Amino acid sequence: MKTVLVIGGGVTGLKAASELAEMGYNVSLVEKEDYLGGQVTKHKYYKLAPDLRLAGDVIYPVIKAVESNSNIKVLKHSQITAVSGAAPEFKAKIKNSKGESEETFGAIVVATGFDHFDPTVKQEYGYGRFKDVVTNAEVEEMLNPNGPTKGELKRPSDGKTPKKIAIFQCVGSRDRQVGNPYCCRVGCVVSTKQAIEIKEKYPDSEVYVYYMDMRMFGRGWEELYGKAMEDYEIIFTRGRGAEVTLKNQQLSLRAEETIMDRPIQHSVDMIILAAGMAAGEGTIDAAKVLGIKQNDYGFLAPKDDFLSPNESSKPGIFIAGADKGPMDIENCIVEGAAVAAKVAGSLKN
Amino acid sequence: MSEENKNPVTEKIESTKGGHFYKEIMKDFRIKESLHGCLNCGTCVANCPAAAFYDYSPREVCQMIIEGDEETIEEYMKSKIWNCAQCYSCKYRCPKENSAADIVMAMREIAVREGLAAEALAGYTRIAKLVLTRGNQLAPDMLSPDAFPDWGPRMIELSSKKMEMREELFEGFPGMNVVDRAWAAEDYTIYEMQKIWEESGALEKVGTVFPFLVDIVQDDMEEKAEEMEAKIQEKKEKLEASKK
Ligand SMILES: Cc1cc2nc3c(=O)[nH]c(=O)nc-3n(C[C@H](O)[C@H](O)[C@H](O)COP(=O)(O)OP(=O)(O)OC[C@H]3O[C@@H](n4cnc5c(N)ncnc54)[C@H](O)[C@@H]3O)c2cc1C
Ligand code: SF4
Ligand code: SF4
Ligand code: SF4
Repeated sequence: MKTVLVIGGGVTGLKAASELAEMGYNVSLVEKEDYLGGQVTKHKYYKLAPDLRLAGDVIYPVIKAVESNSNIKVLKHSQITAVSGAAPEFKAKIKNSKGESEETFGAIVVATGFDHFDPTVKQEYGYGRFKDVVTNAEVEEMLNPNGPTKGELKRPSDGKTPKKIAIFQCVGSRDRQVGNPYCCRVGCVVSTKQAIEIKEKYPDSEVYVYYMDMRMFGRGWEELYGKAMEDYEIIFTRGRGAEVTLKNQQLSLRAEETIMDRPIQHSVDMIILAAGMAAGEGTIDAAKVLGIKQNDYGFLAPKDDFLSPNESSKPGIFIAGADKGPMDIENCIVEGAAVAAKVAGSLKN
Repeated sequence: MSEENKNPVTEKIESTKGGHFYKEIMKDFRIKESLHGCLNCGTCVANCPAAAFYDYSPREVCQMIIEGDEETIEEYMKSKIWNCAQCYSCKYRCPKENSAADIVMAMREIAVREGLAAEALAGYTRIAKLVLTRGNQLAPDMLSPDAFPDWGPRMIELSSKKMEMREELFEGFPGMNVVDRAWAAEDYTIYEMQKIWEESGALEKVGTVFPFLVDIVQDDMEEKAEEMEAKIQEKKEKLEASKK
């Protein structure tokens, strides 16, 4: 029986590995970090949109399915440094602290995921200059009882709980200035979810979301948006956050209330940037080592977006999940299963 | 239905896109580079100094061109576009890399050409006259606190001792003892500039907005003509000689 190499131990790679193992294939799962679960684990996601279900209830079973399957060899802190050969016989060099080894694989699955957009690039938002301008990923960590603030939303500057909070949508997405004209596809639902979590915990707080469109196309997303407005009185203002300054130690934002046709300045205690999804360094590295095609933004390009969405530009090398572009967890799990089926089919021939 | 009962809804029956002014604007080379659709996000407005003080919006400028309604465009060319400070903040922040600044600049040129600018520019007569006859536009004595409330309290202090401050300027500064112009350009320089305006057709364009200024400039030139033409001749001869 051929062995399959899965690169990336996020939710996508985990699902692909466990599906393949269940079909009887041997799998080597190579993960560059020392933990499994990808961004979900790294940023300690606490509750998931749209059901506000504990992230652990989703990610632990997926990890367990891998760790408990004897057909899967998990190699943490490991990376692929070179790949030669062609389908169905690839030779891959795997490097980790123990040294470098070469193994033979019948097929390769790339599930290397994404990186959060780095908002320091958008200087006008002051991220990195003003302590109380934070990212949505940092808020995920704060809201987790096992996180750095033990589940409390706290201003990094003074450790106090903010009363007025503004959330900026589309940071690093839908933006030609930073070269990312695409939509991050999760920012809207994640911000709505975070706004609700904040209001639930701190009913006296005021939460304002500055947006262009609330893109609520996923299962249950529009309903969550409705709940945010009706049950939690979260204020959605149609205008993109434009600039942040510090006035007398207070954050002040500028935007236009486009529906009312008026420019405004708004003093708040904390600003959360809904930073989008960018092609990760790990994905770009993997593309180089494997020699597979990327799209204009660095994400991995399927052979055909409609007809072969999980095949890379090279036979025998498959792609899935957020390394192809912004994707939510539900779709990543579907992708993990789909790519496993595709790999199994290719190895039978 | 009587006139009063009419619903104030704008009825769009025939497209008014594609009129004369719209076509003139779209012909300008800057437009294609300055408009890539618009998200209506308001980033430009939030950063726009003109939008902060006047009934003006760079977002509206972009939307107006996209819609292309002839009447609206004409209205804008007559008034609103003249509020823009040409600071380019909109361009460097727009997530679509649009530039209301460049659209406005193109529209202003067309407005002047098409004779739509006179009313909006009437308030600039003094500045135009200063430029055309003295070679620079702002003069210290134009800076009065009432005219520039947005310049803050220091303005009051500064405007009360204009002459004293001028006199403290370095020895030989060509404007040390004057407050009716920023600095004194030499007659020859002004004359040369006026000639360029005349021969390039710029003066004629100015005439479409400020007709009487053309006479003033031409009188000014006539007065100096004999002396200045002699100087020009002298310069030419020197240049010829140096070539040999
Ligand atoms: C702030 C935020 C909140 C979110 N909240 C939700 C939510 O509530 N609900 C929801 O459905 N979705 C949510 N998402 C989306 C979710 O994060 C993604 O769908 C999911 O993490 C993608 O999984 P993945 O396995 O494809 O990629 P990743 O999670 O990025 O995992 C990729 C893994 O591959 C590893 N790797 C990368 N390169 C290499 C390499 N070269 N060699 C070896 N290993 C490598 C990485 O270390 C990582 O472990 C959120 C996203 C953001 C930005
Ligand atoms: S998902 Fe929402 S926040 Fe993200 S880019 Fe799209 S519209 Fe903006
Ligand atoms: S260039 Fe004009 S429209 Fe643009 S920001 Fe400056 S004043 Fe506003
Ligand atoms: S910043 Fe650009 S995209 Fe946004 S409203 Fe202004 S012109 Fe349109």
